[in-house]
Amino acid sequence: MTTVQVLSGNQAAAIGAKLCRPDVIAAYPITPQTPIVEHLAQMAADGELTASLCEVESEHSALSVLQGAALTGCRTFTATSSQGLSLMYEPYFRTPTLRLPIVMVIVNREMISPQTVWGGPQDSLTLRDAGWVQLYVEDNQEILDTVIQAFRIAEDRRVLLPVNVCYDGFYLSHMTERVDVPDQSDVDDYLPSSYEPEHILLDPERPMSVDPLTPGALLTEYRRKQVLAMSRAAQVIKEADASFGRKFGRHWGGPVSAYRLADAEFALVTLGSMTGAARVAVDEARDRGVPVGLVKVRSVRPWPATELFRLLKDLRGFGVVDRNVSFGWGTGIIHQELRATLSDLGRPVPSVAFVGGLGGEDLTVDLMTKAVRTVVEASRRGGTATCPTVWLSGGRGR
Amino acid sequence: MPLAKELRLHGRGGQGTVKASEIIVHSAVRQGLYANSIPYFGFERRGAPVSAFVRISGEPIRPKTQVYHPNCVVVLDETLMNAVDVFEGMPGGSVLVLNTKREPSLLPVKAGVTSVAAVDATGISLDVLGRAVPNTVMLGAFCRATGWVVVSDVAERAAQAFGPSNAKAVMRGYDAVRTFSPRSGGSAAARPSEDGDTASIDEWPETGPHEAPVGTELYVLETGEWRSHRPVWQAEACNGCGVCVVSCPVGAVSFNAGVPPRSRRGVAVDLTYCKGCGICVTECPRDAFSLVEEGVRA
Repeated sequence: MTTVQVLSGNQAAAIGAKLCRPDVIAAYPITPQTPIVEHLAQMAADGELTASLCEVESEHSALSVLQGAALTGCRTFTATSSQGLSLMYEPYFRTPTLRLPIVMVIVNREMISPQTVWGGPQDSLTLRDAGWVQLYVEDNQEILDTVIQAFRIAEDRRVLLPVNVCYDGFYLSHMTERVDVPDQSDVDDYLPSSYEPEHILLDPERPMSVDPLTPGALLTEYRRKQVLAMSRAAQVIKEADASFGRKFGRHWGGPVSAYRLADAEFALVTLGSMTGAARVAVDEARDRGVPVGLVKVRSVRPWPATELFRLLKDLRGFGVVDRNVSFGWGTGIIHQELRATLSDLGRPVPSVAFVGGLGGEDLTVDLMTKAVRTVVEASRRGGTATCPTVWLSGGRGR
Repeated sequence: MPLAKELRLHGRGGQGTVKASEIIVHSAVRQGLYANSIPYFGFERRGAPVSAFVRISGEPIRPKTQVYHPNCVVVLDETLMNAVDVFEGMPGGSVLVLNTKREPSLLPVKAGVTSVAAVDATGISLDVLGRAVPNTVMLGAFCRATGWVVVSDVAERAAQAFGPSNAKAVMRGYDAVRTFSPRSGGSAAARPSEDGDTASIDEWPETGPHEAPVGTELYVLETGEWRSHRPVWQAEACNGCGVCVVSCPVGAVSFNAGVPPRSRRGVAVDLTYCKGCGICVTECPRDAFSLVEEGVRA
């Protein structure tokens, strides 16, 4: 059973977190994440929240409080954006090394400077190598569902890593749409009843040394085990999504999801809220006889290299629309990672790197149509990664 | 796949524009439809221009983008038409719903608009709510003008969101609409080029090594465009104390040049930057300032 509600992305995240019965929540408000904190505070005031809500003076403290709570075996949740994430930088790295299954929503906001408050995943993508699982979603239903899945992934004994659920500021955080809210009892069935740590615990009855000064050889062992956990997370993400599908009748494709790709010769690769407009552009191109499909990356960490290799290797060409910049490469981050993914193929697959939608600029259906056309033309010319980055900007129309 | 209905709302921070868009989504979903609403605000401040984009459809709505070709535009504050092209992108056969005291037949509308619905939402909201918050009155007018959502659903939701008198405000707006069909309507507004300003990085103009690509010119925000009411100063009441000068948050009130302080003939308001916040009205110990509703430029 579910109830149909009209929710903003931030409301969907807060309700998703509430349904997971966290023990401790600590968060500091920042645009565009602020309404999550407001909704959680309202729930706490209304007595709907099992968690104790800890008011903190900064994002650094928010994550540090959760580390302490998770070390005692609490299920924990927080949320932040851009500059707030920057202030978490130090505890952000420590969380996965301590193997604490904290779930944190990142409402993606462009990094300053120049000054901006609008959407874009430059904040979280820049931290993709810090050891967190990072999942990116497309609409408000997927926000709610993925927050629930995130706790299951994080607390799985094979993983025990923190998870980020990332979505674009304003386009999703402040968009209201229809969302099916699952029943509490179904979420209770889906998740473990509580988080029971065995590997690391602050317990006076069972004293252990946590995070002591660690020499290189031992630190390497930590890292190696983190890497193994991250690679096992790929399978757990798939299982969590499949199991969610059986329970709730909706699933999202695990680490990557393909659309109209089976007989496609070309594809657009997308991340986050831009995907919907790209789906419309793909449908319209199909109507004109262009054999194009779409690949939506859901999991950036772990990077679904095997799946992406399989999906892209036989294409005549693909384009990656990045709402972010990888300075030094001059392309977007996802394009760069896909080039690396296909490097074992032994032959080049033509690709075009698009960068657009920066600072919350709209990635319209028309711009996506333009991207499809550019990919087809570049592929015919045998374009490769040496093509200059195509900047998508100033899109009006649709 | 054409979307069934697209709507754009224009208002100012504090007028409930985004909330109104959300109530439309609630009502559409209650009717079993799909709908979404995306707000756009630059400066999150009272008086600053705000837009909201709504889509309504029988199917799930995939694009999470702004609306560029609205079948209907709702304008909560007539003075916005001084600063914003509210007609932008309206296709043929579209509907304009406007908060105005003027007769709809006298309004300057652009091609594409085949129906104008006018309502004095500010006046009605002052009457019903005791405050100039026109959003729920405009929702009633929108329901009447388009028929896209059921007015009783909207009234119920408005009451839940803002209190019972807002249901009355919705129904007053519904009943008070005056409509007009411009003869020039029906011809579609020019559609913008399909191509955006897409350029390869190589085509971008070269800049020097330390030259920022943006912000090379001073960015001046004329905050006077945010104003719905303007302060009027009466010389007879003024004692030249200067409380207004030091209280104005944007420094828009100053002693008149060449006139010494404490003169009875003393202050001027720079309407380029005055946001109409009314702090001068509140702070003046002699009630020398009053606020009057801003007019529309001819």
